[in-house]
Amino acid sequence: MSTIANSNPTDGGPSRYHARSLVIWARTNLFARPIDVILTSGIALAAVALIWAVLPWAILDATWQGSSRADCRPDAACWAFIINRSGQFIYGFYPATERWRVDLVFLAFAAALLVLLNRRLAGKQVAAAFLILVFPFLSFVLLHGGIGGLPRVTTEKWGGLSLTILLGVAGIVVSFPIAIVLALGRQSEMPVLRWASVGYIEICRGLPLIAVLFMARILLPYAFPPGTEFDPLALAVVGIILFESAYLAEVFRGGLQAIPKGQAEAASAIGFGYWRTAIYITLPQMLRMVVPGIVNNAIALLKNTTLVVILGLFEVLNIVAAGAADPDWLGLHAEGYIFVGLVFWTLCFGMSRYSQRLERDMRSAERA
Amino acid sequence: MTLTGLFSLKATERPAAPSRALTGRQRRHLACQAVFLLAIGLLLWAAWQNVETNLAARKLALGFDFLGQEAGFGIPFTVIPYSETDTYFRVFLVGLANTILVSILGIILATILGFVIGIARLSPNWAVAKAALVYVETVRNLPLLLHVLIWYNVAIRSLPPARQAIGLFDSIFLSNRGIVVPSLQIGLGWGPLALVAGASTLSVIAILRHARRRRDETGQGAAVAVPVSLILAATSVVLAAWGGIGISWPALQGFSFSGGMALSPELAALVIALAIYNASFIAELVRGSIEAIGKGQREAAASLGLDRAKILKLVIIPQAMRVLVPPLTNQYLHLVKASSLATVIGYPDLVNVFVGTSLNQTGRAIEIMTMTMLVYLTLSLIITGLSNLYGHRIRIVER
Amino acid sequence: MVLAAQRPILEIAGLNKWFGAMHALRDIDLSITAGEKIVVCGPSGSGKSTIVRCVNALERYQTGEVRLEGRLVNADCDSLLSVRREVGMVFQSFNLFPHLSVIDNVTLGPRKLLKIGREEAEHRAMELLARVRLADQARKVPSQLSGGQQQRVAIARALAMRPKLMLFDEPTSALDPEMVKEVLDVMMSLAHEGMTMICVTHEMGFARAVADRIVFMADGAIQETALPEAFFCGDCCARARQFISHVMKERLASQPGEP
Repeated sequence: MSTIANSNPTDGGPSRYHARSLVIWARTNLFARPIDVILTSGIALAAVALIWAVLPWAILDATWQGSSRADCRPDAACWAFIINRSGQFIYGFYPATERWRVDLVFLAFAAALLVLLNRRLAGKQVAAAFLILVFPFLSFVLLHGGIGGLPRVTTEKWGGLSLTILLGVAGIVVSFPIAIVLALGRQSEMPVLRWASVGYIEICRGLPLIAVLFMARILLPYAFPPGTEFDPLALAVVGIILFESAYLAEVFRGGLQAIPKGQAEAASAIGFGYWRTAIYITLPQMLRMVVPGIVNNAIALLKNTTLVVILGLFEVLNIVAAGAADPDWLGLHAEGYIFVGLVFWTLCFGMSRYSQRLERDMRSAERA
Repeated sequence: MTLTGLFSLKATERPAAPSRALTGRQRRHLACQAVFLLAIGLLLWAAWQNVETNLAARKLALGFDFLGQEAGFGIPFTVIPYSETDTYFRVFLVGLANTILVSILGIILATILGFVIGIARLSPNWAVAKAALVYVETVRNLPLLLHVLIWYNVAIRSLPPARQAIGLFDSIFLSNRGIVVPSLQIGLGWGPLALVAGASTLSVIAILRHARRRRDETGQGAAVAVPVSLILAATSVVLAAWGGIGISWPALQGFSFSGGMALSPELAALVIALAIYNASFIAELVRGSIEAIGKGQREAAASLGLDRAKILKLVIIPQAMRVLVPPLTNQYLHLVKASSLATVIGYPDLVNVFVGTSLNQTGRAIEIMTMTMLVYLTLSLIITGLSNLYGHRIRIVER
Repeated sequence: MVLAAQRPILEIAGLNKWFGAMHALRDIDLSITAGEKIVVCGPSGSGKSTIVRCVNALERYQTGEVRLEGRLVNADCDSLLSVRREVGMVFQSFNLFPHLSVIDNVTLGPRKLLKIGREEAEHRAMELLARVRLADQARKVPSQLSGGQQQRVAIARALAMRPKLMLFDEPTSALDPEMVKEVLDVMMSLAHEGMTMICVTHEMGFARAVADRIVFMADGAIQETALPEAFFCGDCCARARQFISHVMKERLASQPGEP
């Protein structure tokens, strides 16, 4: 017994494998055990039944044009409702001639975000400064108007999807600096600052957003001199910021804790004090690390902003309710919800994919 | 500018020799904290002045005396007995009980659904894994409020009226008036019931423990099926003979159901939406915790000759649980807080009846908000505490 | 040969395995009789680990057969679990159960599969731990042990099932050099006690000392099966010679102190 070398690379092997690969794949991945045969066929049946039921309703028999429910087939989707009301769904009751202002605000936000998140573009500091320092005021002036020849559009006219997204954007952008301060405070050596930060963060995280919104709406006016006028939208924004800054602070704290101790030690070794260490060493590293966490938070916040309906704001779900209560379009909730659902799904799914890709890239960069 | 503070410089920068005199850094820290306290104090004082003026303007005084007043409004669904003549404190308890009911139902259903889907995500069957993936990605990327509204305004409304209710096994009925399920009728009072049930539970536990100890010591299994079923039979005989317990089956009478327990459309929509939404997150946690256990663990267990069920029970689940429990309790916390969405569809939870109606009627904003905040903070403290206890126990076992 | 007269305990015949389109094992034929020690070596990716993983069906194979004492072994057969109980396996990365103490790791199999009482199982486990010189570590958890200690616990865990055949899948390649010896010593004493073993390893000193046969693999096929004397005297194919000199050089580079 010495050599048993009868390996011949050409005999069978790969080609045989390829020829039968689909069958083999199905047998090992779909029908491996008896129970798999049942499960696979059950799922296939359910999928077919679902398509069978939904396709005619949603597309084949659906009505796309019309001026009221009467124009629609009763047993199929009435997309005419959505198309007819698309302006309201997106802009709320913002005057049609002024809607370019809303578009402009989102365009500015998208451009700044693109610069901030795209690795190949320069000018990140400028974009960040613009977003945090200029953008909130600029967008308010632009949307609210009343100066520079822009007609005034009061906030009760704001609504629809653009309000939802605006609340999300405002929540993240304004919370950002507050959250950094809270995260630094929570890690501080000074007990008073530490306990104040911990107390704030834990209280806001322990409460449901609805309770925080009620708090902003009901309690906040008590703390101001009598007769102060409160804009319901402003109170909603305050509530969202109170809530979001606590969550964001925890994301930042996670990032700060993930930075190796050696970094701060090295900084103090070359003579950096607290603020210099924070600004030049720890915060930049932390911010790069927490982008996926921020995106995940933004997803949650975007979904949560729908809750401002309880404050009576015409956020998009309220617009659907108002539309479906209109005698012309009575009871067309399903169509409205599907439209809103598609928009939210696209936004949230896109963001979650982005954050997953980012996490993967960071992990592989770490390994390399 | 060396306001050194964080980033764990503590150990390295502490003065070597213990001295009574404060260092420059310590003095700066003290000053900084004093300024902070002073600013917060001023802010709170100014706010308090405004609060007092505002209260005076509305002719209100702070105090919890309103809790003793008669509420005078009805609540459509209550777990604990309630009538319009009850006090605001009773309203508070009713809301709290309703919140807890929704939360518990939601947690149970979300956990079951989440575990099934999370395990399905890891199925070797491609179709099962993809179906679970589609579920997770569809559900979790939609706002919870949208789920609630779809179930409330679309799904339940499109069910037939009570007279043509859809019956499942003739015991569960679905209609646009809600869901009716069989309920437990207890006739002999809670005390004796608890006694009987407690005694039988304890003896079952004792038998199981005895069997387990025997298996541990001798490796031989002890018969459990016969004694346990004997005890259960005896328990039901005792309860039945005592005239104590029965199941009330729902039945259609005229336009509505008699018997059973009716879940209102609001409750049903809220529980279903909470369960479905949170299940998608729990599924991902379950999947992650199982995936966190290396392939080597499975292989090592398999190479000893353990079968799939034993590998899961002895090797995978004990390890997965320690990864899973902290984020899972966090998810439960989310669910409890999210149950306050009840307000939007009018299910009488704590926020709805207390922060909503009661506050509107009494104007006692500060008292009511404070009580509500304390409830939620207490609930989250309890859940976090339980989770920490579990983590602590695991650490002790590890040692 | 004397061994050839006995009925082999393990027979592998015509074994082929593909990972996707990659032909990982090509027509492997190998048999081992009771008490025999086989060392499998070869460059990385040559399929040597895959062979031992097919023996207790941790990997599926497409054609050919593996038989333990005449019973067919594959991932779907009914006797799979009993086969695995009779075959011990030691992994490159130890794979101890981190949630169980050392002694619980060793007693898990006997208690849950052989239905042995806790007391007796622990008694036997302590004997095994003493054999791998870890009796004093029994109550610790794996994370408190060094790599070499963990691997010795893994050996004790496999031995606790009283296997007829032991498989070692590169048991020392994940270890720091100074810990390799303690694991090899345990393996060597096991070999002297007459255990039937298949070892995938690059430890040529160990191979020379205990192997009855050395199997050299490359490209998923057995290129050479030789007695150790013949193998190390250069009486083998060119690729094996090249491999031996390469491994030796690496050993010298990593352990400059050793002759």
